[in-house]
Amino acid sequence: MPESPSSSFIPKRGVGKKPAVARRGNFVLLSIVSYALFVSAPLASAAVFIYERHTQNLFNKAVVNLDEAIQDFKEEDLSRVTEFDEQLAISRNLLSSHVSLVTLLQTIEAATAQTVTFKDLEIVRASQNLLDVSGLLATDELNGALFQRSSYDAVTSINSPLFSDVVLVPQGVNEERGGDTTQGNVEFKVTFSVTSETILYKPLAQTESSQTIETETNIPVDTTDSEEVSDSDTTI
Amino acid sequence: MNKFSLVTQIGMIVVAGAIVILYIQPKITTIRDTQDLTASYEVETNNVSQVNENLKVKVATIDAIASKDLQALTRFLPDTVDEISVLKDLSIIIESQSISEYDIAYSGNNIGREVNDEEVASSDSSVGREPTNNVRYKPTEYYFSVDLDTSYAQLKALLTKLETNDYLFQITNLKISDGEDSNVKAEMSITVFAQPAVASEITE
Repeated sequence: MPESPSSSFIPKRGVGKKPAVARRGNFVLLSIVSYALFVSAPLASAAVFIYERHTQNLFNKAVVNLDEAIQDFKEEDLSRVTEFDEQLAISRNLLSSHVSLVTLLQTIEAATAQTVTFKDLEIVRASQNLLDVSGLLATDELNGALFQRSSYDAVTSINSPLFSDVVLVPQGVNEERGGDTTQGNVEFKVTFSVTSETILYKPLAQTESSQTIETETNIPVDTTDSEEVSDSDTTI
Repeated sequence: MNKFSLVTQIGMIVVAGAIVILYIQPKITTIRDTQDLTASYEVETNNVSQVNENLKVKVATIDAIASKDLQALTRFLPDTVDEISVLKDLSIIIESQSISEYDIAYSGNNIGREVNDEEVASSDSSVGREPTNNVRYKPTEYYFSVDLDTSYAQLKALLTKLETNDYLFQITNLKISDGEDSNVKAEMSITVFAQPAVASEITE
């Protein structure tokens, strides 16, 4: 009597399943990987060690180069250059604002009518580029003051002339004071400003501005007690 | 398949992993740091070399300047000003214009210093000299006053003489008024400049 195949006590493998081969294959793969890792890890360590030595050498060389470059740097040279540069900059700054007060006086003389006399004059350097001028002027009559105002207005280098404190002094008062008879009987204050560019010291002034100044101040001046000029003042 | 072999292989993998984690990876980090450091050192070396080269060029430029020009510059803006020497110079200049009635005095000084940004920004034109953008230091200023009684023509000649001096006489205030015997009375404030000690501050 034939036995049923299902009743056999011998375990039977399913059709198409080969677990033993697969495990063996996995085991071989694991072996390859493990050996590869085991060999390559020390090799990589050795390579890293050598490369680290190389980079360290490069770093040491860079440090030596920097040290040499720093040793080449001369502090006294930098001090010398810096000091010279600062000296030049300050000198240039001072020279660029070096004005000629003689030129300013000549400009004022040229713009002041012959009949007007200065009783006092004050020039103050308000800033590097600006000078403030104030003065007390005297003249014979009010027309002189009016002419003087228009004369200062016409001069481009005189900025914002301001006339104030106009005082009519009677002739009798002058005599009581003991002043001379030629003393004017109209007094007024004038204030204005002048930029340093217009009155720069001559060697520094540009050619054009020099010519302008020369034409303005070409009139010979001979003053005694005040700044009088022989300007063309025939209208007064 | 041997169980021992399996354990051995796993052990090999673990050892390899440990080598990578405990040795190779830290070393690679160290190498990267060293390379970064080397690169920064090379950059700094280049910078220092460039500075050295520029410095050499500038020193050569200064050396090429004629000594008389350097002396003129030193006279124009000296390191220090001897106020007695300036008074003597003023006296000589005034007397060279045949002016006998005069009075000169030293009125103190203002030590130069570094100009900070706020001062540059807030420099008020009504206060006094303001530095230009190129100047980082204000020069040391020495103040002198001159009172004299002379003719107007002589006063102008004196002013001309002062303008052409070797070092700068900057007249900050000039007051002219009637004097005696057709003369004028002139009062002037004069400033003389000296270079502040800047080099020591920079190299410190």
